[in-house]
Amino acid sequence: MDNVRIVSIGAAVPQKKLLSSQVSFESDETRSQFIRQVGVTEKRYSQNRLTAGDLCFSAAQKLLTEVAWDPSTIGVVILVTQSPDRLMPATAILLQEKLGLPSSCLAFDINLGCSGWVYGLSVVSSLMQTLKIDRGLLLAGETAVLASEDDTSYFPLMGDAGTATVLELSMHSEPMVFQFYSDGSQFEAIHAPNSGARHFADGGTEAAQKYRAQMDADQVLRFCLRDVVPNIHSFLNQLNVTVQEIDYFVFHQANKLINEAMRKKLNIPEEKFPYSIGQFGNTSSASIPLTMVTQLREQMAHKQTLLCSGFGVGLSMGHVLLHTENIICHPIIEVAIPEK
Amino acid sequence: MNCPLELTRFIALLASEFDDLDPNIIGSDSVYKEVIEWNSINSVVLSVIIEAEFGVLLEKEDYQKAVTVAELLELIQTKSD
Repeated sequence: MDNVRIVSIGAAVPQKKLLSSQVSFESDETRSQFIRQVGVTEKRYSQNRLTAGDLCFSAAQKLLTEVAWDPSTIGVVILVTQSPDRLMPATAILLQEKLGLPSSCLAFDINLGCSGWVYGLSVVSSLMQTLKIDRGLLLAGETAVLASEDDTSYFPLMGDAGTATVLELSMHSEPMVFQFYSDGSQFEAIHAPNSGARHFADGGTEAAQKYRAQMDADQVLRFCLRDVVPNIHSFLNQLNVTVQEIDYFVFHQANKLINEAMRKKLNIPEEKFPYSIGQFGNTSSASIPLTMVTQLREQMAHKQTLLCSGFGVGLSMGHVLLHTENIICHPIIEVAIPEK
Repeated sequence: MNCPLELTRFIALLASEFDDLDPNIIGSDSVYKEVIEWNSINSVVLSVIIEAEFGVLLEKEDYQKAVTVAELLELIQTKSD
């Protein structure tokens, strides 16, 4: 992908922290094991009072002000989320109006999770290049609305965050190189069974419970080590790029245990492998830009070679090799949680 | 039949990862899902250390098939051959 450049990245989270010590677990031992092994000490959680759309709105509004872009110059806005404000219409269209973007702006949602930012980056860039759109906005956000607070394995992991990435057409940008992979045969590894038309939850406790998301962490581990790691290897081999030539590997923050197993198999040094999961949990499609904003803010202002990899729900994965320069990452915004 | 040395090494490996596991009271007939508190984190931890040590990624069915520590090691060895 040529001629499209990431200009700036911002992120917003609910103001309130939820410490893992405040979350229900089967036992105290399981809690300390979760903190130690899965790596989540705290996360941001609004108890469903803020949506992914709200958080992305805050991030985008601040970002557009910081880069001094008139919202009327944005030609495309895409929101990557699996927790939209409504099933219909697409939340990106609501944000088009709320952000003051022009009615000529393309606006739609992409239903992807962990791999979503990489897919979104590819789609926004492709549209900008093909339709000659000068400026684009990629939003990626998630809230833990699909997680049941009673679930002691999935709920503690998932955090709320919204991010915004602004892009512009640029004749002088380095190419972005993508690779994608989908495997619908493993969809049950992470899914929300009654959340759509296939098994519509039309009331009742049991149906509502089945609406909730669930995850088979063993199956996710097998996917990561058996499919994602070799896929990244082949991506790097095809590009003739070595681990040493990459400054940072910005991976989806799935679970520290799984991410560490992947890091070791790929022989990536610890200092090249930033984590945001400790403070924010697994924030799905927001995790890659959130990690850049919170862990690599200063480094992103300089020339960097990054390998970003999103992998998970689908099952799906996407990688992108980025040669970036002067990406401005703004400090994270904390959004006040409205009263009920 | 597993060589005792390999079994001892395997038990030491488990003990190094699971803090509350005493290698002196675990034998070949110990049920690993009892000596290790079997939950969604520990099942992943066990898979990760087996993969790192033996290069074998066990399936969910494997954990249903192997009951004792010795059976688990035997299964790993069969798969790594």
